[in-house]
Amino acid sequence: MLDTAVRDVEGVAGYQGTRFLDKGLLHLRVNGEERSAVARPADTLLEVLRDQLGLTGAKPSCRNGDCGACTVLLDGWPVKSCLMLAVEAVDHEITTIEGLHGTPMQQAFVREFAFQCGYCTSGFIVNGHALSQIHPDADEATIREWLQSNLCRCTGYAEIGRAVQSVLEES
Amino acid sequence: MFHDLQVQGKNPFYYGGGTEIISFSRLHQLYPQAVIDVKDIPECRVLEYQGDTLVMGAAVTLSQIQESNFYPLLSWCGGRVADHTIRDKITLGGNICARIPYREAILALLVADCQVVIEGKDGTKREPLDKMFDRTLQLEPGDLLVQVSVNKQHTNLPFYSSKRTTDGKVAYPQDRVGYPLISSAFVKDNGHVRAAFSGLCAFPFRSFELENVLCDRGAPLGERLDRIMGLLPGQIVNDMEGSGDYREFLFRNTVREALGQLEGVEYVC
Repeated sequence: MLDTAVRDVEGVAGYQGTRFLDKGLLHLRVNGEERSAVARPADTLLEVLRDQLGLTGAKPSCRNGDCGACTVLLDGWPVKSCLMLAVEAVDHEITTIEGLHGTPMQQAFVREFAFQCGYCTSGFIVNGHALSQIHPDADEATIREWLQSNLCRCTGYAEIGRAVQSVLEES
Repeated sequence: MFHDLQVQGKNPFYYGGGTEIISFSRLHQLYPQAVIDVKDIPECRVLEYQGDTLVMGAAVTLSQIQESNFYPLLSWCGGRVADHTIRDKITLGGNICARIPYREAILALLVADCQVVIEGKDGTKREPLDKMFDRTLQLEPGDLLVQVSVNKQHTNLPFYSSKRTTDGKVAYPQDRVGYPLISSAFVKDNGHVRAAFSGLCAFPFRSFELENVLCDRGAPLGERLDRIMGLLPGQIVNDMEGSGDYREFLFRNTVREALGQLEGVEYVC
């Protein structure tokens, strides 16, 4: 929901139902909680999550949609929060790595040692978790296609692949 | 609204997935002072068969199209744009109207003789894509692509499609995602082959002249390919991703493979 961020134009002919946005208070639903942030319309979801809400699990890296370190879930689907405006997330359910608690994907990453420096890990886990929820019967090609969205500069792909695959096999 | 914002000097953009607007703005290559989010317009969110016509709203994401698989060739072409997570944001309309030269989703639409619905200041118009697409979708300032529709019979035609990049497979499960040197879509309809390409020239294209030569089965394939090279609608791209000669080599091989598969003939180099 948006309140002070919305300039009232309901009375203006041709603009009924239209919302013009200025910098203001933004209400977001994050990890099952209602959260508020003061944001500009041009602020990315990544910036608002980290700088306003203190949720630093989504990592800034390329800020260009290439690396996937900032992946979060929007209504259960993985998106790169650096390529999404925070205002777009209004009226949607956002889940960050902080919203996952002991999921099978997290356990599998620990079990398979699927991390080295750890910077990409939250993005991989969020993406892998979404895959396990949306396509629990995913074949190898689908797993590969989904994981193409994330980069690990330590190149720990074999362990990451094994972790994701193990969760899907269990399900 | 677009025109009001333009009059105010705000340089407005329609905003679908927004991936290109955000990344280009970050690089100061775009400076929109206003964006108009079209994702909540119901007509832009349609993805369904209406009778025998598949109707796809411009704000439908490439992932939604891929998951629905209503039109397998479009699933395939759209499904290799960027990466999976970004395709959860990139919209069909955004890909078609993008500044990036590849715009691979358009390939499946060009060979399907589809229609586009465009909303402009003079009202709604429905036009064949062939008429509206020349290197880019020919829109007037303020025009909004609302929907694309494809007749069901075109969605089930036998097809060939491929994307060739500079990067090969790296290591499981990580395949490299990259821009195409050549991306292609071919369909065979009543013996006639239609084809569209991206990456070869600086824009996606379908050429009727090229298709007529392609289907001139009286001539050897090598001769047809030589004639086709003279019919390309622009210069072959020659850049650090791949030389013009290499792209021509890939193009010839792509055509050979496509015709071989669609016609059940093995063409030897």
